[in-house]
Amino acid sequence: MRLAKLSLAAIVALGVSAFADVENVKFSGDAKLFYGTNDADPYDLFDQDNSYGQAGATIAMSADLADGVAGKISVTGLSTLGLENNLVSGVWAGALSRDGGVVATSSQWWVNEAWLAKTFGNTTIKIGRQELDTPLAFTEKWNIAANTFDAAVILNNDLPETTLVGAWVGRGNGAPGGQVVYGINSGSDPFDTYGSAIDDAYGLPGLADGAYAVAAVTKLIPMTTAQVWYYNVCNIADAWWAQADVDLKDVVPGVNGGLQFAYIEPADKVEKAVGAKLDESQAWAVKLGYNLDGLKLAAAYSATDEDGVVVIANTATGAQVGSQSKLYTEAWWNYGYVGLPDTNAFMVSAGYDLEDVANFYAQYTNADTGKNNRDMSEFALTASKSFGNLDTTLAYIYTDADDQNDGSSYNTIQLYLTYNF
Amino acid sequence: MRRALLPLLLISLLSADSYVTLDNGKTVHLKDDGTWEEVKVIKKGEKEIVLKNDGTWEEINPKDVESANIITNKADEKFKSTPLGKALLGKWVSDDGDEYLIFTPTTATLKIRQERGFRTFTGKWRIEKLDEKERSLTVNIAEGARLGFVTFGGAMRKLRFSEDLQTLYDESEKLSNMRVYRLHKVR
Repeated sequence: MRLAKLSLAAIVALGVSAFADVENVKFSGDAKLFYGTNDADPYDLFDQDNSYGQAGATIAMSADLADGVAGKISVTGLSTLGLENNLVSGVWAGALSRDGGVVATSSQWWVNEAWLAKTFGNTTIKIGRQELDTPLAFTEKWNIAANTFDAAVILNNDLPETTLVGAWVGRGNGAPGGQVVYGINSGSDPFDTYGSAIDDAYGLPGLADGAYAVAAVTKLIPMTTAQVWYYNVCNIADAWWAQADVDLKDVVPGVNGGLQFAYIEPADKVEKAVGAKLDESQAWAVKLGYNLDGLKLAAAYSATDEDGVVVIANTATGAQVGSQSKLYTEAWWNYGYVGLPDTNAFMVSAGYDLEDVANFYAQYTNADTGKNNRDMSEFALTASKSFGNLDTTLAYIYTDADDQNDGSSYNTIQLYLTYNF
Repeated sequence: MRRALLPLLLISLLSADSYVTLDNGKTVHLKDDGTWEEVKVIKKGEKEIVLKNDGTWEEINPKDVESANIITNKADEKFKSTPLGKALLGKWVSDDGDEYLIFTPTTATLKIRQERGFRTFTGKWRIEKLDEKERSLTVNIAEGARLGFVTFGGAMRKLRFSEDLQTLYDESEKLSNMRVYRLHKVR
């Protein structure tokens, strides 16, 4: 009983002081409130029926432990705070559980990161639940909650200016359809075998069996960061991603550019499951950018192979429309369209940091989806400003997509509030 | 009664400031003969008791243990007065405009581009660790509270200077997403 009287801080101090060489122990987190509304027919802006809102919080502890070991544990929680009673009728993330149950209004929390990393010379091994940032399997951070992975990653820097990467991904909580994460139903586990989001998105009969990836990222070529990735999403697909980003700052200050190539080949088991021969998906993209004194301009073009089947987008969230793509042309809000087969897309954007006023950003994206008849045009305009540790973003989005709102354009307004603590 | 009070008073005077809690959580006893030993400090009710390595124990006044906070402050002041600490002062921007770091003698701001706007931390700052040889620093920005070496709130950034101190590399996200921000000073 006496123990119960100890403050949380004292318990933490007692626990941690048992490890003599622990340092840089940090408890931190953020609290978010996101709101969105649109005037898709038959509703008006700010109508409850066409609005969505949610609150989220993440609390994390990170530390440098003894012998070069680092670790982090983080918990994420979601709640509607009762907004559904008056203001909204949808949520940003975690609306459905793994079994298809609607859990949108449930308060839910889960451990979204729990990893340890150890460095031996030029090699680092990171094991546990973690975020990943690779071209075709990554954590999407635009939503109120981010998907993570149960994985083991090895990074090696023995070669000069080069990082070699090896990764095994066992499970993930990524969900298709723009929800990013699966929700939790009566304590159910939102994490499932990696690849299950693709099973769900394409209606495959439970083929998921984890994934492997290897990569080389090098800066050996002057002014260039080049990377090549190979993925084996077991039973589902093999994939390649190559990318070269050039920063000409030493030649033409502010100018940068990039080239991308992506290739996804469905596995035999997928062809057997659907009973048809499936062509591989391919895409290439090119980008030109200019950054100087707070001004950021970019233009990009991409094209996908007309015979492909899989969308060139994040495999962690299903590689479908709604999954974010790393192609340079990716839209600000309507994700995945640029990666559809038989699609030519272009994107132009401009950002400017008006000091002490706000950060402004505008982007126009057009995806001509050919035989898919899912053409999409989007214009997004955002203003972001920080008030101390409170970050705010107000966004306006104009969407004109064949497969939304019966092909009629509509407007969206979103508000993002994040308090960092 | 007098006989009993005198030794207690002497012990109390001698033990003043002779226990120090280091920033790694350890407590050491600074002996009069110039040597030191690590000790354990436990609480028994309102009292604090030192357990020594020779098997003896001693009751002490909590005020006799200099807190880690004071030690860390001193270290922070010392770090800030080094060439690396002084070189941090000013506004730093990454080449791609995705990160801003602004250091004044008393406050700092960290601003990092996110998918939706920026993530900002602003407030007091301190240097937790500094390695002159490696030109590296661990900086804590906008922490809310501190208990020894445990900090609450804010952001911890692992920074490294180029040889000429004109470029700053933020390696805090090297482990999470292999990203290193390259920042230059702006006027």
